[in-house]
Amino acid sequence: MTRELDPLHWLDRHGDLLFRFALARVGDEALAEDLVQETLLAAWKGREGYCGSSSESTWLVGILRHKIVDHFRKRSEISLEALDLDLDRWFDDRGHWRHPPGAFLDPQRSHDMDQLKQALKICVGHLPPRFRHLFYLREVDGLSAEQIRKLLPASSTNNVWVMLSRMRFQLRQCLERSGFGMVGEEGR
Amino acid sequence: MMISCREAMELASKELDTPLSGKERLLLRLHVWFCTGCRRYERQLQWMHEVCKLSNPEAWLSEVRLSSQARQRIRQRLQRGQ
Repeated sequence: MTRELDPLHWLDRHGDLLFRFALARVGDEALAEDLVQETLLAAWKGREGYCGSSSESTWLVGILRHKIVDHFRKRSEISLEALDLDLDRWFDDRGHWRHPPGAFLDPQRSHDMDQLKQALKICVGHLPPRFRHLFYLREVDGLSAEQIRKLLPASSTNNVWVMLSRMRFQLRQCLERSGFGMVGEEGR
Repeated sequence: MMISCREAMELASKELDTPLSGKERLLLRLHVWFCTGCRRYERQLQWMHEVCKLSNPEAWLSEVRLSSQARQRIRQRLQRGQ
């Protein structure tokens, strides 16, 4: 079967997937549409490089990933301030919790696991764009902190660890606020 | 010898990204042994991390579609670009 190398055909077959992928990561429809367009143009220019060893959609998503990284790279460096997370509100002078973390439902029960996934997806959507991108790179794509340091770029791997730690702190608080947390001691 | 909750919070995240040094590991284990709040925090972070690892990447995408206007715009651009 010969593959049809035609960007209009790619748009028809994979346009929605590319758009969904971009939108999840950049959180802005107009921007996501632009990224889909850039991806298809770049794919057309680079069509010689497509050897057919991966599926067409995997190849296109790979190009889109680069476009998304480039988009964030062109902007100012990722900074903790964007998170608007004041740890002094959560910890006292001696570094103790002012309000210790509440218990969660038990995600080892499959019903609770589904709920956790849904709630997490919503909370990720509330992160500022740079941190959402960071979330996807680390938690969904499974890149290492060192790989992420080069992509962002960040000045050190230590910086990446700190940003991941604040991002997770924020997500955890969001889960608790969104009702996933459970009052009392039955939860874990 | 003991670390604060704030430091334990950082280490509970770091251990998901890199193996901790022997000293860091010891300090974190010792802290969460005594501290319910941080024990919970550590476990909840691990759950979040696991949920992401187990999920199919597609599960993170919503059911949105390219609007017909956007599709048309991109189509025209591609036709010019070839």
